[in-house]
Amino acid sequence: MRGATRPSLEPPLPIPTLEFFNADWLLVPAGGADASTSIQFSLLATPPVSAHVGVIVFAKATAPVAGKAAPWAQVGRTSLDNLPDSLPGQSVSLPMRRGMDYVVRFQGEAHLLMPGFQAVTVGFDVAHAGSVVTRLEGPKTAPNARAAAVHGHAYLRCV
Amino acid sequence: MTPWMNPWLAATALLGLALATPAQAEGQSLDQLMRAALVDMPITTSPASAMLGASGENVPRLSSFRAFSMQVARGFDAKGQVAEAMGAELAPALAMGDIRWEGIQRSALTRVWSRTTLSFATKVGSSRQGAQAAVGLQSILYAPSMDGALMAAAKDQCQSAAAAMDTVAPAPEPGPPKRLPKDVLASIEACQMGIDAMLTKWNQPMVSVGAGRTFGVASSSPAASPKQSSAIWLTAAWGGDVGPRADPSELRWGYLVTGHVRASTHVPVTDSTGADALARQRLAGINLRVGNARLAGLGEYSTTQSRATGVEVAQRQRALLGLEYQVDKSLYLTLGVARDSGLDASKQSVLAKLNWGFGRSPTLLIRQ
Repeated sequence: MRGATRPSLEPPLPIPTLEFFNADWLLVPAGGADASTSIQFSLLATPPVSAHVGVIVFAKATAPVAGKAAPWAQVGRTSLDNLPDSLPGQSVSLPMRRGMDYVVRFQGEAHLLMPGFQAVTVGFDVAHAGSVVTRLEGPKTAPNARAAAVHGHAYLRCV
Repeated sequence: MTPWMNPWLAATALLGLALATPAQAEGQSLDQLMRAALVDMPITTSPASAMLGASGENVPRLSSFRAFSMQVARGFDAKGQVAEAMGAELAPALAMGDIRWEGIQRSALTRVWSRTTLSFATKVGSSRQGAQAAVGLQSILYAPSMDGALMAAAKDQCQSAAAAMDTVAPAPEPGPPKRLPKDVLASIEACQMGIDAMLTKWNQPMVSVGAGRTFGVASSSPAASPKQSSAIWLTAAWGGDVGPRADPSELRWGYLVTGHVRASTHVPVTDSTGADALARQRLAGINLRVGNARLAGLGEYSTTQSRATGVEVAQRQRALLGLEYQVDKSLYLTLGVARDSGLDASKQSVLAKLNWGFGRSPTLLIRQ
C-alpha cells in the first residue's frame, strides 16, 4: 500500500523553534542578612499544548578569579512539564547568592494534543519576590504548527 | 449554476485532481511525502443528512472532529428515489476554540461537549415530497481511544529534546542561544507524527447519541408533508487494525463496524396502495468500512419498519456497496451502488457523494 500513498500537495513543514533569551544581564537584588534570594522560573503552556522542557542551571562568581573570568559550573538539572496529568504553570525555584552569576538554560518541545488546532504557544516567566521580572520576550506562538521546539536561556546576576 | 453546485461536475473535477496529484509529487521522496502527510479522517456522514435519507448511507459513521464539514451528494433518498442534497456539520466547541485542556482532562462533560456536533441538511428532487431540511444534534459520549491517546502520547514519546540538552558551559555574556541540532528537531517531528496518528485514527471505537428534526419546505402532497418529523438515535462503532503497527495510521489497514438504530415519528411513507401517510419508523443498520483512511470499501445493510394507524406499510431493506477515496486533505469522494427492496419492486440506485471539511486555527492564549 505504500506505493499507493497519496502525496500531499504541501511541502513538509519544518518544526518551528521558539527561542527565548535576554540580551542583557538581569539584575536580581539579594536581600536579607545572608545576602541571598531566589527566583522562580515558570513554564507557561496553555492547554491543549503539552510541553516538556529540560532545565540546566550554571553558576559562577561575578568577580574574576586571578584576573580571569570565573568558570561556569553546572549546579542543577531538572525538568518542567505541562503534561495532561500535571498542574499547569510548573516552576522551579533557584536560590541565588549575592556576587554570583547564573544561567538558566532550557530546551524542550511543545505538542498539540487535540485535532482542530494549528498553533503552538509557549512562554516562560522569571519571577522575583512575587513579581514577574522578565518573560524573556515571550510568550511566543508558532502559527500553522502542531509542534514546536523550545529553547533558550536566562542570564541572571545576583547583586 | 456554478460547476461546484452540480455534484456530478464537482465529482468529475475532483477525480481529475486525484489523478493529477501523483505527477505533482514526483520531485518529492517517499520520506518527504510521508512526513508531509498529516493523517486525515473520513468525514462523518452528517446525521441530519442521514435523517433525510439524503446521505446515501443510512448509517452515519463517527469519525469527524472537524470544526466544520460539508457534504454534497447526489444519490437516492430514503425511498430509493433520486435526490440532490447538501449537508453541513459544525462542532461548536472546536469552532469557538474555547475548550481548555484542563476541562478535557478533568470533566467528562467537557469531553462530550468537545465532541458535540450540530448538523444541517437539505434535500430536493425527491418526487412529491419537495424540498426538505433537517437539523441534528449529536454527542459522542464514549471515545476511549481518543482520550487514552491524548494521555499516553505526551508521556512516553515526547521528552527527547530535553534529554538531548547541551551541557557545555554557556557563553560568558548574554546573547542568542545556539541553534538546535537537526536531530533534535527530527525527534520532535517524529513525536508529533505519533500523536497525530493516534488522534486521527479513523477506526476508533465510539458511542454517540443524537436527536433531530426534519422540516418540509415545500410539498406537492400536503397530506404527507412532514411538519416537524422528529428522530432520536444511537450509534456505536468498533474498529481494529490489521496492518503492521509500524505503518502510519493513514496507511494502516483496518476495519470499522458501525451499528445504528434510529426511531422517528411523522415520517412520510407510501403504503401498499400508493397512498401517502405519516408513520412511526424504526431503522436499524450496520456499516462496514474496510481499508485505510485514504481508500476503503464500504458495505451497509439496513432495515426500516414503518407503522401508521390504519395503514399497511411494508418493511424495507437497503444493501449498499461503495468505495470511499480521499481525494485531497479533508476531501472525500464516495461512490456506490445500492439495492432497495421490500417497498414495492426492488430498485437499484447509484450514489455519488463529496465530503469536505476544515479545522479552525485559533491562537492559544497564554495564561496570565
